[in-house]
Amino acid sequence: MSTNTVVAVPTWAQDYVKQYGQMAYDLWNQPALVAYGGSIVAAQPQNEADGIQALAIRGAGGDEVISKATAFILDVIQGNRLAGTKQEFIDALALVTGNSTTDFASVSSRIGKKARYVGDPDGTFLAQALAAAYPALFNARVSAAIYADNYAKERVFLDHALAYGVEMGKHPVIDAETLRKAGLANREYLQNSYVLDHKLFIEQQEMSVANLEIFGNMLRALTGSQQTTTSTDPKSNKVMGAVGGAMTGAMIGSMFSPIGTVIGFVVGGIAGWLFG
Amino acid sequence: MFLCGSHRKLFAFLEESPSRRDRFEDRFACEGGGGGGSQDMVTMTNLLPTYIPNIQSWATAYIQSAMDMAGSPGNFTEYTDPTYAEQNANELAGIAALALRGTTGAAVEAYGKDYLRDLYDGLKLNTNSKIAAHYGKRIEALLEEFDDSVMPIIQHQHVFSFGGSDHNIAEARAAKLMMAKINEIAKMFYEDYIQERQLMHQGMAHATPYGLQCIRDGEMLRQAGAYEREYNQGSLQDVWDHYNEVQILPIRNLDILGNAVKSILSTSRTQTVQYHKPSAISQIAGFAIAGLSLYSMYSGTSRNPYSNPTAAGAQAAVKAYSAENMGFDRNNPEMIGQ
Repeated sequence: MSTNTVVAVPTWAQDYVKQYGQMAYDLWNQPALVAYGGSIVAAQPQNEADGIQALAIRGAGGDEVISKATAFILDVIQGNRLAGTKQEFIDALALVTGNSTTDFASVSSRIGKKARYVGDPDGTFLAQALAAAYPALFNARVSAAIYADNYAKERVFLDHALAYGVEMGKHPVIDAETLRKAGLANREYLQNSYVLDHKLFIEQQEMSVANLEIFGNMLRALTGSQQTTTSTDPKSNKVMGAVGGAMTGAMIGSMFSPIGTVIGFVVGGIAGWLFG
Repeated sequence: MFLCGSHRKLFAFLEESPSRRDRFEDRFACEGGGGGGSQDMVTMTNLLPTYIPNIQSWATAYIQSAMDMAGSPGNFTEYTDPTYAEQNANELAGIAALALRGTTGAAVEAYGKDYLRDLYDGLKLNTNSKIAAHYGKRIEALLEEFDDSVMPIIQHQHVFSFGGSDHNIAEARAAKLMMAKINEIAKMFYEDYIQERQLMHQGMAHATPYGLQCIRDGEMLRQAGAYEREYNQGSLQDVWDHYNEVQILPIRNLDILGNAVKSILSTSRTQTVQYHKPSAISQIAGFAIAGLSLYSMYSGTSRNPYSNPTAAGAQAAVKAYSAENMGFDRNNPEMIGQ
């Protein structure tokens, strides 16, 4: 066996290198790195949960002001107020005609009550009789005028209502978007918790590797600091050894006697076979 | 001695190309071997640039410093001062106010919404509580005019036909005019209705802003909670980061030494070559052969195979070398003594 050793660490620094290796080993086995075990996801505060719930309710149920306004503007645009059949219009018209009728009576009561002269053929309240048909006549006239005026004004309202039609039509989109945002807010919170949990999970696994890598780094740093090459020597051939031994033995033996040659041949051959 | 040898090699190393450098390594290895033999050959090569004075001592100080910084407590130590600021009173109060506003909304908005709801429902139509009184006063004035002015004039005009048909007809016509005026006055109820209808229509402009307030309220409340959670999350993250920072401190300190070691590595090269040694039996055999040979040479124990030939070959050889021409046969030069 032949050994060739190359040491790249200067002798004056070898003690430091040994300490470095020991420290790395100790840290690895300590172990130096332990994954974080504390809380990593902040709880969702009640305000946030309530806010999200409010958004969800608003998105799902809409708003009463919007729904009433939408219903109203739809009613106007559909022309349902042109005919004057809405109760509030009928009530307004009744106030006009009803109050008129009441006060028509006040006027009627003021006429034709004076005493008649002798000879007057008409003993009734002629003036009141003459005015009796006026209330209905005037109420009919004023009603017709009001219906016509109402129609004209409602047409103007209808025309203006178109300006709000598109705006109110957008509210279902706003509601839907609000509902989606409420869901998104919860999902983002959940997603964030997933991300953090995943991060910790990976970190926990990496910690084990990191612990191992403490020693690995040391090994990598010192790899090549020493190079030892060991090579086996060429093995001798047994037969050649026996032949060489026999020849040597024979040569030695021949110095003494012929039989010594034979003995030297045999002994040398055996020795060459065994130790060659 | 070592440094002097290193100087020579270094300068040679610096001046030669890489291919030549390898040859220098070989040459120095041979020189360092001390002439071979059974001793291991040790070659020491210093690769520090010695043209820089004191580089060796500096390098030693360098790794010593690294050792000091890596040792306890190490260069990197835990930071103990705060790394996450507390929320101040203004920030907390602002978040609380935001949450309160988001929870309870604004009173003015709530009233506005109530009004708008009634407006769109038509609940404001025909509800003018003052118009009836106004109407009553105007009718009162009209009747006063009728009593104080119209009727006396008619009576005066018909003083000689008082109570007659003309008088009644005149009163009936006067009543007709009065009723027409009453109708005109009564139209104020309709005008009030139309006025409210106009306001109802104008109120549409407020529907969207007011209708969206609850979304803003919800968003404010959510945002207040998000601020709180973000702060808490930041605090947790800070604790986590701090924990990891402390965890890694020993590793960072160790890396100081590790980097120093990596820097020091290969500043020197010591090569030891162990040469092949023959086996003990081979050496013994060699010595034995040499010794016996010497012994036989000087003790006369070496046997001359021609002094007492016994074998046929030896006898033939004796005969041949004893004969004329040393056994050489001209007719058969290949054969001797046959």
